[in-house]
Amino acid sequence: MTGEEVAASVAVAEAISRELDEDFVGLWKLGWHLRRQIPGLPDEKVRSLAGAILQGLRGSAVRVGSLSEESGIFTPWPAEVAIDRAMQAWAALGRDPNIGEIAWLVRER
Amino acid sequence: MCTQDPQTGQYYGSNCGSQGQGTTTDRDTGLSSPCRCEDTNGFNQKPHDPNDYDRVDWGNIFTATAGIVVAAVIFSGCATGTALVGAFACGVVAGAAGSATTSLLNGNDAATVAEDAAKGGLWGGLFGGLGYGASKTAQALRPAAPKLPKDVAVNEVAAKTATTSAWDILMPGGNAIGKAGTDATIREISGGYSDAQAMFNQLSRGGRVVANTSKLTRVELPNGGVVQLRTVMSRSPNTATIDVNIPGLDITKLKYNP
Repeated sequence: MTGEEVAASVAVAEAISRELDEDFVGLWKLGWHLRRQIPGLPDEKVRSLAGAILQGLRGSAVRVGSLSEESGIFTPWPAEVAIDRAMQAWAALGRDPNIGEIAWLVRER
Repeated sequence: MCTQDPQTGQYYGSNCGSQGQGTTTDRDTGLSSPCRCEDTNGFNQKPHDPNDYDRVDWGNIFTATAGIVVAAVIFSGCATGTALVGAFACGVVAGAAGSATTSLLNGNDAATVAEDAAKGGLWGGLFGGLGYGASKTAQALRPAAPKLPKDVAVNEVAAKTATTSAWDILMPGGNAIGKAGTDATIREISGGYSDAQAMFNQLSRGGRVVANTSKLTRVELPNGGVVQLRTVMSRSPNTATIDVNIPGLDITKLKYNP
């Protein structure tokens, strides 16, 4: 990870963390912010940085899971597999997730 | 020599110079002679009547205009899309016809009409060729438009329109709407659900609804962007949120606060 990538990852993690204080955050926002921080970043690098950011947020009570569009209820995925599951789904998608795709992030209170 | 007007002191004949000076070659004898009033632009015309000096020569204007019109009609009818040879030939025909028309209306004999037609044809061919060359040069200098399948081109136009519209709505005057939230890409706006709904209707215009429940509505835009209106999923009670992911826009969320 280059210095630029580290700085970008920290900036994105901070932005996501602040937003999680008041709202759910879609997984799509990680890719969106990373590409805005470092234009032209390869897809694989975006995914690896996003995974690292999720690992960092895990330490501040952030859970990854699904959000029912019918009931609005958030269901967290098991913590030990949640990040891998999200990143595998991202890789399988073959592009950055968009709004509502793959997973949501929630900060537990 | 040309006749000098006794009152104005000017000379008649457009090719004779302001003082009637100059020489010209007689078309019949080949001999040089002082400038004559009837030698105008190489075309044969009747000698100018000094009595008509102060009047508009409607006769000559008419004959010249008639020739131009004939040439223009012929040229416009045959020059479109032709190759260089075609453009030259078209110019020859148009120029010859136009010159012959003017010469005939001037009352010239057959030999003179034929000679004028030949001259006009040469000039017409020259201009036809020049016009063709100019049009080809302009085409070469113009950037070639990419050849896309029809549906792709239409989608690109639709996408550009959608982006422009969203930009106009969310960046009025170049400034992001509302005030910054937890970061500058999140915009907080005063208003309730009805305001959020009205905004969402504007942003999602022309899009395709991909999810519609009691909790949210998500619309895919023609440019690949996505907008989503949600209510209860937000942690803050009594608020409505519009998630925004539109290419080229640095706004990801509109949060409506009552």
